[in-house]
Amino acid sequence: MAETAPPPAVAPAAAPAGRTPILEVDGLRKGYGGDPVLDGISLQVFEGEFVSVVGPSGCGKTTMLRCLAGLLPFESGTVRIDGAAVTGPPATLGIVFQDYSRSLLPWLSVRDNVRLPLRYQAISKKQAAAQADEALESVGLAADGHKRPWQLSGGMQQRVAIARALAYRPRLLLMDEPFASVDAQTRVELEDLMLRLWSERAMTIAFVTHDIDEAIYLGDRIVALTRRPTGIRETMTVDLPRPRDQIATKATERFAELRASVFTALGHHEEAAG
Amino acid sequence: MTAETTGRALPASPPAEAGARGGGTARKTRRRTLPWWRQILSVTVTLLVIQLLGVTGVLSRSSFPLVSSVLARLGRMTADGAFWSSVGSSVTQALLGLAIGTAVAVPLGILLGRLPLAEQALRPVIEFLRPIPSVALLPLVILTAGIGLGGAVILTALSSLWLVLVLTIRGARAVDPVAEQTLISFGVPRSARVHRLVLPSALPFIVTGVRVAASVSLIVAITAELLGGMPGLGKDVQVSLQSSDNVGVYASTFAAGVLGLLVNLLIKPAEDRLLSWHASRRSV
Repeated sequence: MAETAPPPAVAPAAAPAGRTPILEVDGLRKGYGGDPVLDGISLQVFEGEFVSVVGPSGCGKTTMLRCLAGLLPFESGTVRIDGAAVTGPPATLGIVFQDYSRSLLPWLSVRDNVRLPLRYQAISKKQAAAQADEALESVGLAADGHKRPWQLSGGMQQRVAIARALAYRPRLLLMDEPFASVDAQTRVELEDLMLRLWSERAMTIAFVTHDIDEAIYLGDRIVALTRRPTGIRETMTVDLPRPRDQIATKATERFAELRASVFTALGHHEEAAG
Repeated sequence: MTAETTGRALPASPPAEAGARGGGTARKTRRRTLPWWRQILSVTVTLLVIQLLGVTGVLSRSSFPLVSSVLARLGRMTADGAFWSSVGSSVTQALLGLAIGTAVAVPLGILLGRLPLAEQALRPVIEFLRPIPSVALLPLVILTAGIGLGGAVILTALSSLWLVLVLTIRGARAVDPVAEQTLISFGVPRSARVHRLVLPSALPFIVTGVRVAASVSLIVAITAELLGGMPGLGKDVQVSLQSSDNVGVYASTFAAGVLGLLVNLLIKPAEDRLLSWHASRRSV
């Protein structure tokens, strides 16, 4: 907390000065039966930031995310969301999992899926309905509220999961490889949808992915993880201008440079060269 | 039986399947009607063959009365109030027991399914009691509850309880962890997760348990009537038997069979409606 008060010169290089940290992870350690998975992870996500967390497959990204969400106990270190230490699932956190078909409830309509978390918030029914409808509208599903999730395509189902998180109005949105199970075209659409929603709503997003292009295209900063036991290899600022464009941004020289340095950071020397 | 007839009705199964998926409900309804007629047809043919065997004397008429005389007796019985009160007793004993057994088994099963330690502690008790056939408790029930409707209901409730309980426990464990973690993250409290997530997840198991328990419950009710003298079709069979009325024995037995068929026919649509969201029933 005290670190944000001093002038910019004192602030750490990756931390934008004068901004409130929403997520603070310090020395997070977690293992399964003596086998270390997370080896002292420290990172910060600031208000209004879009941080991409990228790492090789099986590196413990999902374990890390579940620790941050208070769904898994960890051995040591601290996780703070909005200044409050995470001991159980924090109320100010929204989440979007990769597996939309499992995270949406098939017996509820799309609208009821989005409304369900709001029932247990301190808001009126009318307000909840308005928030749910507004969220569905913003992901382009205003006309599909009465359908069951399984009647929609994969991309649309993930939009429902996104709408559920939006309607919840979290301080921090965690996304766990949300677009890893949809086809390439849908993925591009969903990436642009996230960028639009993020800029319209000034949200704070921690986005876990194994796709380097996606990480660069979306993020303000990239946190590159190592293989197991997982630590942070490098944190990079993405200085690409916004708004970003799938073709123009990805065609810039800077994008290629960032891509190469993320590849190198993750240890893919051959792929980076080819 | 349904699976078998469906298979025969549609020899070119894969293309028909693909067509039905896009074709909507019309085709689906037709697929269901066809086996129904076949079933009626097969029943008619079976009855005709037995009738023929009886008329030609292949089957001795003293132990196997003619189908025609059994059906004629059944026809006369349906005009008699006593028959309907027997049917009412059998149905009440079966369904009331089923309802009571289910009402106890579902909450208990959900609880035990969610609390593995409690389930482990109670498992030996359940596994000891479960294999005991309800009918084996008949003497005990007659001694304590008598041979009225209540005695039979105790037995049908017990038989339903075990069937539904074991499946509900399994169902309560069939909750998808991703769905559960999602609801936990979004602050849905534990108590709400039980009826928003655990109960619907367990429903396919519960419904299967209730469907099986309904048939068993009817069997237990009829058996209790037959052996214990509780009012109902089973008792009618026993009374006919004691007065050497063979046609009456068959007529009441036949009526009990029809009752079983009806119970199954009634449960199927309820099951379809409750589980319309389930992957096995989706029409898209």
